[in-house]
Amino acid sequence: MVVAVAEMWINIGPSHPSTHGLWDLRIKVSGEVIVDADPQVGYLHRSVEKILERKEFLMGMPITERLCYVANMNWTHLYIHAVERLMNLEVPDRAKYIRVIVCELNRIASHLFWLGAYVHDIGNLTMFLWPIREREYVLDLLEYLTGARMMYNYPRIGGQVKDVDDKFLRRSKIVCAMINEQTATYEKFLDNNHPWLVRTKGVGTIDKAMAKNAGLTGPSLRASGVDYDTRKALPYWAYGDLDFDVPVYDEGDCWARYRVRLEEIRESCKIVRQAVDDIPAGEYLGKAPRVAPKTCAWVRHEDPRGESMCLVMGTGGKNPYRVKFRSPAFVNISALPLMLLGFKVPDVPSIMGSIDVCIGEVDR
Amino acid sequence: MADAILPPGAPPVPTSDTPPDADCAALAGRIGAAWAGKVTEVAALNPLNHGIQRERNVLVRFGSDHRPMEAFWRWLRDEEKFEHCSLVLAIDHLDRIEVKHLLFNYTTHVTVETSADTDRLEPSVPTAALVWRGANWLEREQYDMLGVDFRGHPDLRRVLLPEDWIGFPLRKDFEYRQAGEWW
Amino acid sequence: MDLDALTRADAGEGLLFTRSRDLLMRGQTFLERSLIEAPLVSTVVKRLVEKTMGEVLKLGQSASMWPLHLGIACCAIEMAAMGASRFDAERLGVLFWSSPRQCDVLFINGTVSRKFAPRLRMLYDQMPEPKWAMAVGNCAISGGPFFEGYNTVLGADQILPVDVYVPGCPPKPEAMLFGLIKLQEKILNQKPDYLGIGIRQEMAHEAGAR
Repeated sequence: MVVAVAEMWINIGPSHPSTHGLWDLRIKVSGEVIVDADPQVGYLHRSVEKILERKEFLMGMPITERLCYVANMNWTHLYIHAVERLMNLEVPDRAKYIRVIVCELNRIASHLFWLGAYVHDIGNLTMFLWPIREREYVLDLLEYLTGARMMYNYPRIGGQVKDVDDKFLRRSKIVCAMINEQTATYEKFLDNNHPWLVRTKGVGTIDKAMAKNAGLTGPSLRASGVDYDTRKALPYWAYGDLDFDVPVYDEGDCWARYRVRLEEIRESCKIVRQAVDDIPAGEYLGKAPRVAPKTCAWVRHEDPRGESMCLVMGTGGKNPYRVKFRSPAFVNISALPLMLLGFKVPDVPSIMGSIDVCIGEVDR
Repeated sequence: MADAILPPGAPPVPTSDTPPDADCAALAGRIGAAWAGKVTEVAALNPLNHGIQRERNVLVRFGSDHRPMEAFWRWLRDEEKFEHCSLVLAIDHLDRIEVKHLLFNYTTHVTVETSADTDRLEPSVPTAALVWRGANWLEREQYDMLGVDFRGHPDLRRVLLPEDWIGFPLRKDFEYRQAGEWW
Repeated sequence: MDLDALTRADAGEGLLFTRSRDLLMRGQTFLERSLIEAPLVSTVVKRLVEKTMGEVLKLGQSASMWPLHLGIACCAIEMAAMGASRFDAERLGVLFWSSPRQCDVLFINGTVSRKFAPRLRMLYDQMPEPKWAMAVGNCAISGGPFFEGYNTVLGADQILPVDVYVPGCPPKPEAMLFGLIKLQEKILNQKPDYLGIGIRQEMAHEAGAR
């Protein structure tokens, strides 16, 4: 006897608690099994690239901050770094170390927020509160430095707007040591947690070749066995002088992505500690021209979500002609259908959360 | 950037004397040998300043003749192991639209930038989405923003704007907000 | 979707009712007079009912505002921080709930884009009365830093009636808590909706009949 199974398209989103932002994952299910997927993004398209063409280079920096709102320091520094590359401007050494410190602190905060939101989707409400609590300490540090909890406005073309002082450096070491200890608590909580393991091990697998071809980058790529990190391959700022490891796992499933990000929190703590110890004295802001040459320049960064790029084209005047951001989460979402095929509908929040989407940078 | 007429007071385009990396120079040589006559220009770019970011870039220009592009991309992916499509970018110069594809090699860390020019009224270039799956959405986004048609793309529709949007916003002649629009 | 048609259909005539709550108060008074005064003889009894049942209802509504679990943009992260352990929002009775059919408050925390505006209106319409809306952040108030964008709706109050505006980019969680307290005060100070019939729907019908 043949039983016909219904195939239908289901919309998950754009308003869904586990989407972490506004995007619509349309999945085609045959019974309970997913056979196709078609993500729809664009519900937060804020026309950033067009707005940046109308503004001078520095005026556009606060707009880029709102792009990925969980990792603001990384995105503002990406834009300013691209503008500096356009003008062929190297920042002073102290500014390079300051940038490494604040960007790694923001990476820690971003990964902690991801961890909290991810376990919240799986159903674990305690582990939502603990990483958010740790993230508050990092935000306190950055509030001490810049005055704001989330939108910092910290970089300037040629350096930073203000210097770090000894109190900030001492406190950042203390906070990093504390967060390093806390990651052991998270591991203890989750490593033998049967529901967690059942929902993340073997779920949402993607193999190495497909991950590379699909443009997947960042922790999701390193969880599939590719040992690549932009901070090591094409170093910028002070990353070439610092000593840190890059965690790589081979399984390619949600559990591996969680492990990569957890260990990246530890590596970032290590980087901050070394940078605080090695930071040179000197000036923190160099002189910068206000006009840019008429050429194209780009930089690549290692964002908490993957490889981000910013390409800026100057006109010889004060405004850019074209600004283009490569958002890692945009391409990671396009690789999501490959991870969903063959799994069931209850696996969807687990897989969606594991690629760490921040919809502000996807939709720009 | 063929037209190098700068406005008065503009800084000159920065150049450098540092020779390009050995890998880049060798790759540029191989491309020149295998694709002589089919590409307009091949150059391993001189890195400007390693203090800003370490750079290994090779530029390949195709001009208006797009026929060898798809074969070139396949050669890059299969022979030269360029497994990652980083970025697809379309720029509206006022007389033409330039489409760039940035491709990356995970072992030698070299970036190849292929650049193609197309007409502004009906822009059309071949697609790289059948060679690298990662280029699929990146090309959809450039279609959405500038109206560039990627010939052979499996699923060319708007990705960021609503499906029924009329117009291509990142073109230089796009009207921002019509007068009297209240939302 | 034709946004103009949507706003006209649900708010009566045009945007008149989207910004003025005292029109709703006048409507409540009219209903009182037409439904309550006829059967009830004395004013004292009417005032007694208003004071007891009405106050209890208002207290209940203000002390258990359930917002929709909707995060639009950057302000949503501060809202999540507001709901976490440092700035505990649950002590005010706030419980983030996923289903709009059982929610009281809609936080609009982020830039409303043209693609999302019809869905936001749909979410607001799916919430049963009594319901309130709070515009969190500059983008929801007036378009914010993205007012030059071609895809930005210049403020959430272009498409739905907003009760409390919390400025900031993003507002600190303390500011959002203050906004919640202001919303509680607004609920406690209004004339009680003890009939529980939904003031706005009645007003819309009235306006349509006229």
